[in-house]
Amino acid sequence: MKPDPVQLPLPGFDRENADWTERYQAQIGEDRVLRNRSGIEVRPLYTPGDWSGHRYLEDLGFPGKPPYTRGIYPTMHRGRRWSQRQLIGLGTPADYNARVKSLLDAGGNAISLIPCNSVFRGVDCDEVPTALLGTCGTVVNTVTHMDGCFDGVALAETSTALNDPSPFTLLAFLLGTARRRGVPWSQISGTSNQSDYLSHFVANHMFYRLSLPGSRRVLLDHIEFCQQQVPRWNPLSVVGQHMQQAGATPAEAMGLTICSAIQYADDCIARGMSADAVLRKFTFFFDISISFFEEVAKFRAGRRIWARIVRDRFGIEDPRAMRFRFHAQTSGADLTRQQPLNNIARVTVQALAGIFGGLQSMHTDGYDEAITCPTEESARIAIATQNILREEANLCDVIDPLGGSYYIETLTDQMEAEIEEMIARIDSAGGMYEAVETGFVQSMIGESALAFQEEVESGQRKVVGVNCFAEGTDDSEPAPYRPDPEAIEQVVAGFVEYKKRRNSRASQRALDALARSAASKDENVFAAVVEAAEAGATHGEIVVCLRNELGFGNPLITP
Amino acid sequence: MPTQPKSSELLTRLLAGEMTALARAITMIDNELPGHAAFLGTVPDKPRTTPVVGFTGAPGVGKSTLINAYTALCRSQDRSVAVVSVDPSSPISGGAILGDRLRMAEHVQDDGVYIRSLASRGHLGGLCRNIGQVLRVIDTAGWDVIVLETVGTGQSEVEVASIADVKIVVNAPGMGDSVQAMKSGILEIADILVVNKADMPQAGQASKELRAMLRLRSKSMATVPVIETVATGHTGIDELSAAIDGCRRCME
Amino acid sequence: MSAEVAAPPARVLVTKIGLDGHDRGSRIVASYLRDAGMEVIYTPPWQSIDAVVNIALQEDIELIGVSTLATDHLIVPQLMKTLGDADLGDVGVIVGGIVPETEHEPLLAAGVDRIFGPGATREEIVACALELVTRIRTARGTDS
Repeated sequence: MKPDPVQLPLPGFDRENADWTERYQAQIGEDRVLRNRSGIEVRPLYTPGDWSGHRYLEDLGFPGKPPYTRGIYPTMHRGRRWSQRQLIGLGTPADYNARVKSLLDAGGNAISLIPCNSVFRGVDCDEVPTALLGTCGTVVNTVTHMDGCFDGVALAETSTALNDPSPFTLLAFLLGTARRRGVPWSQISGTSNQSDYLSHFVANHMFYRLSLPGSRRVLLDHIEFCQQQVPRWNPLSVVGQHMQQAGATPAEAMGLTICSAIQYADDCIARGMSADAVLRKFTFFFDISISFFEEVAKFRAGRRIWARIVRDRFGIEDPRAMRFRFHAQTSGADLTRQQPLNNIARVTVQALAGIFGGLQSMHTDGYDEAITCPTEESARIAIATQNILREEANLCDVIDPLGGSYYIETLTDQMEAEIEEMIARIDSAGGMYEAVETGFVQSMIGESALAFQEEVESGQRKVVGVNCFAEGTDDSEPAPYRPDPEAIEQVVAGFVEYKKRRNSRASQRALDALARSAASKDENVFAAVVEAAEAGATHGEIVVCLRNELGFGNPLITP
Repeated sequence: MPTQPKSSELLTRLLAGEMTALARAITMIDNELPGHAAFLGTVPDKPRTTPVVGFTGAPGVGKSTLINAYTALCRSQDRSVAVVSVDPSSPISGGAILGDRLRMAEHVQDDGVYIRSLASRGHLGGLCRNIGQVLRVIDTAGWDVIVLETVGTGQSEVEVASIADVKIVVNAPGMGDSVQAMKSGILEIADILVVNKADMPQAGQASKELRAMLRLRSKSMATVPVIETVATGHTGIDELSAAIDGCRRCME
Repeated sequence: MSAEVAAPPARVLVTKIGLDGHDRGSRIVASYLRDAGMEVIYTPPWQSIDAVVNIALQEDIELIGVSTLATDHLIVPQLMKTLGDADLGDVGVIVGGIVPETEHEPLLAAGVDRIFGPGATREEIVACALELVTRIRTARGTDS
């Protein structure tokens, strides 16, 4: 724990402190040691004896300058509200298009596309049972599909987060769409939200397709390509969400995410890219659990640590590189299936934590998240939640309002120590890539997940409606979302037709070129992916081609 | 359509190449079910003809991935492979997670590959109590190669030495103390030493150290081949296979 | 730890079919079963139905635990049918994860023995597993 030597010129403080302690203990009866999710003890009271603020400039500073604890911009949300970037993904491209338009109307100002699970698996829509298509994301296998998703949406005026991993065919399809519409790529902005392949391997998530070394190669090519050709695009988002959802504690997740970022920066530098140019484009993506204070402290500590790492490890003092920019999503792992309307309250608390934590962009979950991808109603409530916090609770009016709280500052310091310890552990394991390759990280997270589950089952960790206050009428379970089967059949039929009608020689030639680029040492694979997409190759074809050359990602480690 | 085998027809169906019968026979032996002794009595009592290639080494060196690659090679040569993977049981609960299959997913639909995961069930030595009988049954069922996988790190996990025809000890660079490995008995049983993950920078050093150690030990050990592989990339597998075939010829 | 342990250890397959890849739950369940003295063959997500049946066959599996999310449970009846065709219809099948209430019936009708939701405890899962293993051993005559 960082020393904050108490300099209390408060006469009588010790006496009053001792007096309160005595009265507290006399009245409290049985008092257990309470710990937050990261294992840090939570005491009943925090005072200037814990944190006195005399190191304000070193530890907190002012927003927009190192150490950035209070925020990465001078104005924060008061100057620019956080982006309401709600994840959308369902059914057919037409379904997506309708939902995007209604969300833009309702006040969302940024777009996020999540593709169907089949896309994550690297297969096309005609290769899986139709019952599995479009239930959790939109089917997008070609440039034409992507064009349909954004029908009537001005590409140059919206910022789009695309949620597919290597080889980022969605961006290839988006660029193809832009070219069709005459929109220069220099005007396309957004993020490759799932470019963090290390987090995918760690959380053994739905997102693996290429081998670990293959993913590494494609990501670096992707970053280089975007730097040169799509300069407003963020090719890398370092994702802490997967690890926290897989069971890592908040401190572990933050530590591991920062280690991944260090690894990616090292890889880019080894490639010959300028550290400054690379770091300036880093963005992060985190989970927000319902452990309210812990999350606020986690983000504040993260900002402080990252700025220091950029300065000390990479020797960069450019503020654009030191800024810890992040998008965050309220954690679905805290939401329950039982009594689903309760989740509205949960999401509100999580969103609050994210806002007080100083995020730049947020997605709030629908209350039915535990059961289905959101209905129009639950999606609307999710956005309304953000609007209410901003417009009615006026949460944008004050920057870092919890700053200076004895508890929050102490906890920020403590989280910082835990996070630093995790970073040191990964360093001694050889860095994040190696730690993931050997399965070290996966085992650690698995242990945290098991511990958490045991706490819930034993009743030690309370979940309302599940292991406490579970009596009474359950809200009727929301009907799960299912895309219209006929619409899906039409998409599949249309896709099959498309493959017949397209110039298959051209697409095959492009796929052959893609294979050659992957086999070569210095050609840009992502550039070849874009060319293949524009030549009419499908998502599945591109993935299979690269898997053959670069290897298939094997999940690691037993429980 | 295959039906559940009755004990009396187990041998017949086993000899006919039925997977179900083989699986059930192994269970009978592993669990020492009623009738297993009688069943074993019906199994022809002859010396084993199928070569048993044993892979051992510390956890994490890549044994399963290596076996996966070796199996692929055997299949390309039209040889059928039966893989028996033994993992340690928990001394506390008696249960086990048997996860070696994770690395051999590419063979799961191939009728020419049989994979069986077994737990040590408290048996010391690195294998399980009835491994000899299990291998005998697989031998009878007519597979071209049997691959045996076990964890081996110290003095006590050398049972594979007495069971396998070719003993391969797999190492990987940077897995901790190679001196420790040298001190233990495990390297001494090796017919072949493999340095997997040979694409790592320390691989060359690891190979050198192993060769030096072999020379120091004895003249016979000095001839033990040290082969570098990258199991995930199927590199070095041809050399490994050639070395395995070489060892088998020496024994004949 | 549960007092009763099947002897010899039960052979259980824990797997995921369909398209979802979240395996936090299946890993935890695999740990529960191991801690209860069972031998667990654990596979990664995205297994094809044919692969699952093949593994069940080769490993002489007594119980299959299928972890599902999204709509993967919709293809469980297909798994049940394929198991039946391979004469593995007597193998117990538990489905764990998110299965909407309205979609339980087709699974149970197809032969799934039990569906567990997110609130299921270690005790419930282990007890159910032991019960199903005992059942198949009695039926097959493979109890010792």
